[in-house]
Amino acid sequence: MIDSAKLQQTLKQHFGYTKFKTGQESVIRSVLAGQDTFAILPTGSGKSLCYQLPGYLVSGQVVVISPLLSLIQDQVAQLQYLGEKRVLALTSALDPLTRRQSLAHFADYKFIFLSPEMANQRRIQRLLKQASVALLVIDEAHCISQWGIDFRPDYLLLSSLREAIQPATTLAMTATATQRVQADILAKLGLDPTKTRQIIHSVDRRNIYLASEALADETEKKQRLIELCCQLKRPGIIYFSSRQKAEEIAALLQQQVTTQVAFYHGDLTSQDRFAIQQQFMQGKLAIICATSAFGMGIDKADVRFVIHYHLPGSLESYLQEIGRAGRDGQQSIAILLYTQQDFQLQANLQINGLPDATLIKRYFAHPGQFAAAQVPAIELLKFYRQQQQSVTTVLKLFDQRRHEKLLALRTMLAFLQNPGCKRQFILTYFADSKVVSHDETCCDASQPPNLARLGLQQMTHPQSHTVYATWQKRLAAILGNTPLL
Amino acid sequence: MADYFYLLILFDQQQWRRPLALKALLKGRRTVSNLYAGLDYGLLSLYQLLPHLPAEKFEQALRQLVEAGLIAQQGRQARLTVAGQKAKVAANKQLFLPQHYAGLKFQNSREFIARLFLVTQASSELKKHNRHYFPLAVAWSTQQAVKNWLRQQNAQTLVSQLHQEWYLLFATLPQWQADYYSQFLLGHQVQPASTQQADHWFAWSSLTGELVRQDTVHWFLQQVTAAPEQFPLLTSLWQPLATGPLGTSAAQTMTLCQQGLSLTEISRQRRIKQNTLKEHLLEAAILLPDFPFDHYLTASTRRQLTTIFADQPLATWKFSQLAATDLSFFDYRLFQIQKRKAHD
Ligand SMILES: [Zn+2]
Repeated sequence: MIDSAKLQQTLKQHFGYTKFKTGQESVIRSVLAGQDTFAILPTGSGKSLCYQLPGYLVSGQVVVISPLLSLIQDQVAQLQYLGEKRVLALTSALDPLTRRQSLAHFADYKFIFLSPEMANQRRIQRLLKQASVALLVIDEAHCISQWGIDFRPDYLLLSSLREAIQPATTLAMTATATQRVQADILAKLGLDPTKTRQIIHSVDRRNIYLASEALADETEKKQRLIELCCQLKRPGIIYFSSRQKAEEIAALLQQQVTTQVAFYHGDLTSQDRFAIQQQFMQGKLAIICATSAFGMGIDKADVRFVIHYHLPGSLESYLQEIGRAGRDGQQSIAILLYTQQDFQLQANLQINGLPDATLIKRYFAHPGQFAAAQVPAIELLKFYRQQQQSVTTVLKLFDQRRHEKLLALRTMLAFLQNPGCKRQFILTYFADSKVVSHDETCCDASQPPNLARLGLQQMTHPQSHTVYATWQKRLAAILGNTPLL
Repeated sequence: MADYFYLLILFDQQQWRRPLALKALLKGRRTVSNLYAGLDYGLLSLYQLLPHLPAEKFEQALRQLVEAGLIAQQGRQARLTVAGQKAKVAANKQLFLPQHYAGLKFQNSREFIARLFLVTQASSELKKHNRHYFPLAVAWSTQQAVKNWLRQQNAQTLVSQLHQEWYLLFATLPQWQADYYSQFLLGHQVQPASTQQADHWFAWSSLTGELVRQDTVHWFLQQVTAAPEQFPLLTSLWQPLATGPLGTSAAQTMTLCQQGLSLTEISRQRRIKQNTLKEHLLEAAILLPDFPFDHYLTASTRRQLTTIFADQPLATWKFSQLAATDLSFFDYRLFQIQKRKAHD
């Protein structure tokens, strides 16, 4: 049993904090006691500390399986920022030379981040087997259930991966999982529910006001968005389900609201992503128009609003995304704008990626014909065929998946049409037993949000400098002695 | 003027050119046939100008120009129409065109600038004694190279010397260009702009922005290599990347050749097929100013080829004309390269 003084000291020394956030300490203690652990902690609760801190108190390596490249990059940047040099990110972005060099020094790294696809590569698995893995972490574990079948089948191999590398302890973490998903995660990781410590905190974030608005059409939606952006206290994030739309609306807001707007999506180069993130972190940007690629690893405490311009695909995604607001505990707001057409749009988006029955049958009959095709749907089928699945199984699998996706979307719809308390709806959905006391700071069930009373209204915003600095000024600020204003 | 007019610059009214080869050249696909096309069209310097150019964008632009009657296509080749030539002259005046870009001379310019930006950020934070910052997102190998380089520098003079060298560089540019490029610099409490932001401020398309950035870096490298004594830091940062125009493998082959090894010996030593080595030689023949053609083309081979092609224009030569001889494709190509170079 580790003593509190030691924990406190490590927290202070490596992370500069004096206090744990909700849930952190119990997860850390469980992990340090060598107990396989499954934790649900609300968004913004500092989940990464739960594996970073134990890293300094155990002798082996910490291996983190993470779903997104941008998330891995953010987490690596965070550790580097804290002064940790023994960090390795094994991603597809690595050039061959770097990859070779990193693998040659594999044992020297304390923290190793990688995607499930990377972890399933034979060479990497061999290294992981030889290594002494003290802690295997599955970050954003709901992805196992959410993405496993259609998007990232490598997630389905995690239990055999776990068996192969025999970590001393396994930690799975997420901020959103229904009871069905919780059971699914444990099963897919091969964790025995009776022997796994389950630390489950309420997913509720009481300081985020929940609102939605139905609008007649796209024009009205744009108009309303502009109004909101003018009235709301900033900074804020607006989520879109298409890259193109994020760019288009960013340009519109730039003209009509503020120049401190930028867009962010997966097509940007890593330098451009870095630039936008840094500007946002430093308060130089007031509003970000983003796809869901933005924010998983963003640790900005004072985001005051999250607006959804498109419907999220599920209540889980919704909760993840609004969770980027109000990490400082201050009052914040989530507003979902939607039109009737959005349901069809989202349904198409969700279903289009899935291979249909005709394609599945054709592929299994003549896989050779598709050898050159680099379509995600084919890659997916290729994976299942390599796993020796029969065509009947695969047909059933995707049919089921289609139902699940539509069901998730119908839950979203039910959430929006629900006349009662939105927070209660979410908690019921996640079988969260926390008691909700609905009032005018909770959600828009009884009346629309009063921004002024919530302290979220700001009609005048400080004028931003739209003019860029000259090279002389920038250079003097960077390497000379004259700071930029 | 829309971005697709840029494509006109790559074509000519007289010479038929292969769009596929042009695209490959811009993207930096280093094959003998692409490089030869670059030589033949006088566009070798554009090598690797746009490595991330989406193929469909290139093809779409070509289609638009054909539909507008500015480009005529014939099989796999294309050239400017009379109207196309006029539009090219106009485009030359209105569009920003790279003036200093030398894709083969400075083939590692992108790595250079990534290192330089990280060095600048690290120096800026060092000056403020700040150890907690988010380093610019670059490849791990770039980080390592920068760490090693920084370790070799004199911490006392690094910041002021770097400041001075940047100052010298920026001062050689027009104000607008230096202003634009400086938006990407970063340091203590100074965030970089994204390319979308900077292009927006200067009212440029993303393509123009990319060309300005590439041209600026190559202009910097010209300044640095022309006066190394004025730029000691940048010179030492560039030196390990100054590899010359050849690809790594071709450069190794050439070094061994210069040491007097035969192709058979090199093939055995490097475990590389002779045909690949011959490709290396052809690459060198195209790219090096002093390739020893006579060493690889015997007098009798040369005589034979001269007789067959006599006064025939280069563009109409066909390898099939050598069907009755025992001359190889290597002989043919090498001779063709030599003739093409002599013609300039
Ligand atoms: Zn409520």
